[in-house]
Amino acid sequence: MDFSLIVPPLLLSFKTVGFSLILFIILGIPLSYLLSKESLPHKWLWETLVTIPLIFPPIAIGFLLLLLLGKKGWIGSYFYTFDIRFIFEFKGLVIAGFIAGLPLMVKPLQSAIEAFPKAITEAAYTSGKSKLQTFVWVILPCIKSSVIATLLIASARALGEVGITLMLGGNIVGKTDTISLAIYNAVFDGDYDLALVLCGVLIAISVVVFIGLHYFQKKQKLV
Amino acid sequence: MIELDVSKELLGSLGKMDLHVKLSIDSQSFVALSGQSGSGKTTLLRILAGLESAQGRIVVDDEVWLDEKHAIPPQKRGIGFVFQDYALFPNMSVMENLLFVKKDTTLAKHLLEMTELLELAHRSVMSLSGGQKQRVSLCRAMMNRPKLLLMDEPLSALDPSMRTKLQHEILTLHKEFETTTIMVSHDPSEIYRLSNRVMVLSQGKVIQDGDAKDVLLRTQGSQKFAFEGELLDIVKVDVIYIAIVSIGQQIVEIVLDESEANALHVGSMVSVSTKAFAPIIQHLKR
Repeated sequence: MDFSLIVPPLLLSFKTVGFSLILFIILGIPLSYLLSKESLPHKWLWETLVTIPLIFPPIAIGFLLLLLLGKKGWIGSYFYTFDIRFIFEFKGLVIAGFIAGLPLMVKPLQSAIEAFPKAITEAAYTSGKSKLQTFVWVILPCIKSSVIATLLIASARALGEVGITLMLGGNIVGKTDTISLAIYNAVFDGDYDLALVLCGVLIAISVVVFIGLHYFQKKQKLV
Repeated sequence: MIELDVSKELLGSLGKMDLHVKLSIDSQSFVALSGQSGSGKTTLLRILAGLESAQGRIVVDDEVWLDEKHAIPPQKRGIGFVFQDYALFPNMSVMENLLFVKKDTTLAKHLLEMTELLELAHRSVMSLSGGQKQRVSLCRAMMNRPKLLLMDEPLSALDPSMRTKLQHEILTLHKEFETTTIMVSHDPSEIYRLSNRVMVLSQGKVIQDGDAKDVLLRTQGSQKFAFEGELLDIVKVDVIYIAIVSIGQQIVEIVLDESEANALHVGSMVSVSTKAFAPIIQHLKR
């Protein structure tokens, strides 16, 4: 078995998931908080935008993002002036993983925040604590298990991302072929043994994720 | 001194209702707010706390909390709020719940000592009994040395003996900190023991306002005593009738003649009183 065909895609996938995870934490958690607010203007619009990747075909989303983030795209052209490129780059993989995993994280976390007892947040307000302080020091620690479980699900989704990744990353062997794409490439080349081994690796990772999910969901109890 | 003149339209169980309350409360007083459920007591308390919006004006010690132009948020009002269901921070220990409000270990220890909780200081609040939780909630509300302490039926979920104990602790805290206090309560003995002013709310308006004795004493004229209860049944025994009335936790029987029996309706609220003889009071052994 040639490990050079297994290890680089696996490491690339881990690196992608790692960066996606950072984005989930610094963008996904605040986004869940914003969406849990009843007074958020155009709430339905934001909710729809976040949920779209769950319903809309990944390939189509990938194509739209390609148009948006490309050299001549609406967003891409702006970044291009600073010499920042997303397409066929590692950044594209991270964006793909992030967008695919986001709804799986934000929706359940939003529900967990909405279900948090109102009296406890009000107790924090009347104790002189701001909304941000209350969220960081009271709500988040109380729904810790939900946070970890949703991060786990979103990361698992980012790991298995193919459609958007294919469009944004371009499936360049040795540069943007994540483990899921490596399976596709192996099958395409007729190397079923390699595809099976790569699948085995993914199965092992999935088992670990499932055990983790089970643990955190069991631990999660209503306040 | 609290000057209050607020109004708010509420959607109650009986349809739309206008809450309109105008009153002033002296500093350091202990006010009990009573009235049927849906009369607007909790809403009034929440308006004072800034947890609910309203029209009107609230001025506390020359500081404007609410007027036409602005309302200061609950964080800036310097209040303490005790919720009916405790609302402790579940991720923190007893001590941490207090210190989260203010990093004042001396005050926290003093409060826990007063409420006999010092030994439980490092326990998780989730492991406490209802009475202990409400004591923690009370201590937490005092951590900011509030100008105004608001309590929404703080003892209603507790058993009678725990209630008496907590009433005593509330009174001790009130004496030591001299905090102006407003408490929603239905329990006459609690109101009598703690408050020096009682307001009864009905349909969003104050219908009675006075000291506990005036408001709570239900006798009229020369009655020695009077109880209110529900008429459960009227039973005919030979030539007389017996009315069965539920008063508090007890059932009593009262002899009626035929005309009295005909005038009463089963299920209605009645007043049972007597004039002629002196009631006997005895210590109960339990």
